[in-house]
Amino acid sequence: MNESHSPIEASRKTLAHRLTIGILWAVLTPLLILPIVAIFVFAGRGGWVSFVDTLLLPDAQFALRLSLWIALWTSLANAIVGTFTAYVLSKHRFVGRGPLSILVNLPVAIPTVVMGTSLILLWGPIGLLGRYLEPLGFRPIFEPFGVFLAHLLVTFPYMLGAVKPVLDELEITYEEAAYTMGAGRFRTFLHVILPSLKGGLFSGTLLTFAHSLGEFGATAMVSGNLRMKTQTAPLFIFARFEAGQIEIANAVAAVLAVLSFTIFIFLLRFTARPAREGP
Amino acid sequence: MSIVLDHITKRFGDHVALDEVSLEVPDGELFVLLGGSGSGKSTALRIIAGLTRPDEGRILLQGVWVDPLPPQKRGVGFVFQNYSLFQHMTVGKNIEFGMRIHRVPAAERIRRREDLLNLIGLEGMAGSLPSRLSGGQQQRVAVARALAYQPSVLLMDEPFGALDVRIRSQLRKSLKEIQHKLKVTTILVTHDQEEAFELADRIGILDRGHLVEMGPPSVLYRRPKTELVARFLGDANLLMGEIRDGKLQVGEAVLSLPADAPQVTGSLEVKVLIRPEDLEVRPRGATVDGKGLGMGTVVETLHAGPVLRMRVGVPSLRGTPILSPEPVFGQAEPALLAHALPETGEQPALVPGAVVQLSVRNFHVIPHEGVSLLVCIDGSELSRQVLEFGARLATQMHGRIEILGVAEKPNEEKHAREGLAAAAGAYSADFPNLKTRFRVGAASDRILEELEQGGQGLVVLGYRGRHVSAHSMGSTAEKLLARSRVPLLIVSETRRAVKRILICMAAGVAGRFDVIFAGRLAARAGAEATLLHVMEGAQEEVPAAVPDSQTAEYLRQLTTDRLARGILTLKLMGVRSEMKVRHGDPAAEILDEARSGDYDVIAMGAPGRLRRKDDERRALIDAVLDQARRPVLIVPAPRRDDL
Repeated sequence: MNESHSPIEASRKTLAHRLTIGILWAVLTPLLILPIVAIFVFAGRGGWVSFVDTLLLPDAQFALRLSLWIALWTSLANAIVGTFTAYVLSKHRFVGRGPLSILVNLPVAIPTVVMGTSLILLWGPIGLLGRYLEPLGFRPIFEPFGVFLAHLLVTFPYMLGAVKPVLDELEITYEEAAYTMGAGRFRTFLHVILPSLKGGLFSGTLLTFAHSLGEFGATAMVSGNLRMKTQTAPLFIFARFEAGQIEIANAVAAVLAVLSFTIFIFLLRFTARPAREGP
Repeated sequence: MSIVLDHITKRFGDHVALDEVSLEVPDGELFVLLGGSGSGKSTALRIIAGLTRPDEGRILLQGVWVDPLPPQKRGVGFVFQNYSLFQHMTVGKNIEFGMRIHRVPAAERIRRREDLLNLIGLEGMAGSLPSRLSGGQQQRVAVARALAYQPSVLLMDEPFGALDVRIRSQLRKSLKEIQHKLKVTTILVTHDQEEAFELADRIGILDRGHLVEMGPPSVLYRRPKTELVARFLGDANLLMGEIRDGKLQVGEAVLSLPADAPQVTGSLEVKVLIRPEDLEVRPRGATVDGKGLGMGTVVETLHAGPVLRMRVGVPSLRGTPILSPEPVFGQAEPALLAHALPETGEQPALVPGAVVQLSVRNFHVIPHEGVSLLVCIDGSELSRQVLEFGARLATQMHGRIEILGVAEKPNEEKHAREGLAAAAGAYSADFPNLKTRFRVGAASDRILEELEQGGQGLVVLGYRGRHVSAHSMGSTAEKLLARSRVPLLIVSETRRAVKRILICMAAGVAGRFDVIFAGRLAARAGAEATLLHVMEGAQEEVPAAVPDSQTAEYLRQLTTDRLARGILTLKLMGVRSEMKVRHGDPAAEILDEARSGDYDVIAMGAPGRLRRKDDERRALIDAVLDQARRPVLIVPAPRRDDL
């Protein structure tokens, strides 16, 4: 890359340039940087010992573990359902395809609390489906499974958004080449399409995982915030903060932040790779 | 027979991509389907592979009717234009893919893989990823991959399309060698003539879904059966001639007929194809061995590597219709193309202006069907008259008519159908093999569909005046002009015959194509023509270098010059013509001239789509159409790539 002609280079030493950079720092410091730093500052306030003690609290540990499990299962489930949805939407033409394409992306646009409410109204004990399932012993709301359902719904568009563009770009001739060589649909998917989705699947999974880890609104609605049962890490943080136990809240928050940060670094490195290749 | 296509038809909506294509390719042959974009050649290939389903027709591969079989079961190798190599697999894995699917044992698989890599000259590259290879190498891997599971036929869709011109010829040679060695029956699709000639055992020429002709390259080039193929392959001199008493008369020259020429008693109008390399050009005084066309003048030369291309004026062809090459506007003499070996001497004799002797080494005679007029009718009294006029004009031009019945709305269908049936009955005696067709829908769309099938030289339409149609210029006419290049004859009132044509050069840049087309029409119909230029004062652009005092003189010169060149062009076609200059409002002057001269047709160039003056031209055509009370011929400009 040759950027020696760019105006950026030329303006480096001018006053206007310095002023611009200064303003950027001035704006972003209180908005972005200080809040992130604050998490770690408050988390470590009581010293290392109290930080570790907090993390040894059974309900803190439970909340973190539940969050990680839910995030893992959500990512796996979404990888399968999302890829399937993306494949069908991208490669098949059917009645209702247009509206469906919009519908599957809606969870991103609708507030998560609202999504949570609607889940309760659907699966809850007196909900549309829930009232028939309750007698059968299937009661997802206020159960970890309900949290999983909520996360699946809320993070669905992320997987789709990572996988579908790759499929859309993949020319049909790759599949057709496999067909003419005798490969059926399944084998073609396995050997030709899936390998080309590697990148999309990976970033989609990481995105889903990160979002699931931090999910609050929908979780708060469907989980009932039951300690040691359905309380995820974000709910735990909120509960302890409300109770005035700011150090405890911040210790868990710091762990969450580090986790998210790590995932994010992975994502950045991965997506920063040179342009996508064919299958 | 390895591959048999039996009346394959494929439609995409209203568009007919393939129209009853039948084809047989014997074992081991390399057959090339040659056609422009949109000719249906790729569709044909995909249908053979089973990637696209035909609407009608059957396909036989190695003795099996494969129509119900999916692509997986047809046993064809397919090379795509983009190669479609699997990027995450190594070259070796790519080649082995088909064999793995077909459960070829590992040892055999590796042996064949190595054989193929040897064959394509990529030994030791099995472990490389496709992205590391050059375009040419990727293409060869794609060929090897398609051949690896030993398919019964190999299909290739523009396999050289994405490659650099320089390495193409090298790869063609290697492909031909591989195909020859493995003797695999191959169909290759291309738009590139050179490629087709170099590779093909036989070539099939596809034009708008029709398989026009097929045969060995040399036969198609030397002895085509149709004008379309003669023009499509290479450069061509194509002129009208007449067979009489076993001799061919072309202009003033009389040539003895080749053995394959049609045997006729009496006389027959034919087209004569003389390839440029068969037109011998010798300096004056040299002995000539061919059949003489008399003396000529070199007009223009172009050194193109191993050949010297020339345009040569041939006075003895004056008055002979020349279908190809297109005349240069204003050229004084009929001109033909000639190729010769470049001269090596110090003082070349073949330079522009040189007087030369011309003779024909070889020529080929193509039957002449005459121009075809597509007449559009809707069952109304006007359209009955339009048809009558169209039929008279076709007879006058020794041409044919095709009748298209159109009902724009479903409730008009019955009436229009009856009109078409009556017309078909009335004209089938005058025009044997009369083609009629009926369609429902917007007239312009239906006519365009007919034009897509091809072959018509002129569309004849009725016109009821501006108050009837929503847009100016007749909405149908305007839509047709925007989307096709076929001239329109718009008839509001008919004439008994076409004896006098008024060609208008007013308003804006003089159309060359309209003078040429109207001239051809006049020549065929035996009509005379008048070139009219209307001067409207400062309408012309005058260069700044011309002083004000001389503007009038400049414009007069310009006009006279243009008219003179137009007259020369008409004369060249054997059309008796005169020129007139009028002053004033173009529309009024044209209409006045048309009335006072009692012309039968007014010819005008169609407005383009971008130029500043085109709105003026459109308004002018509107005015003339509404008040002319006689047919108006509108000639669109040829497309850039037609030139």
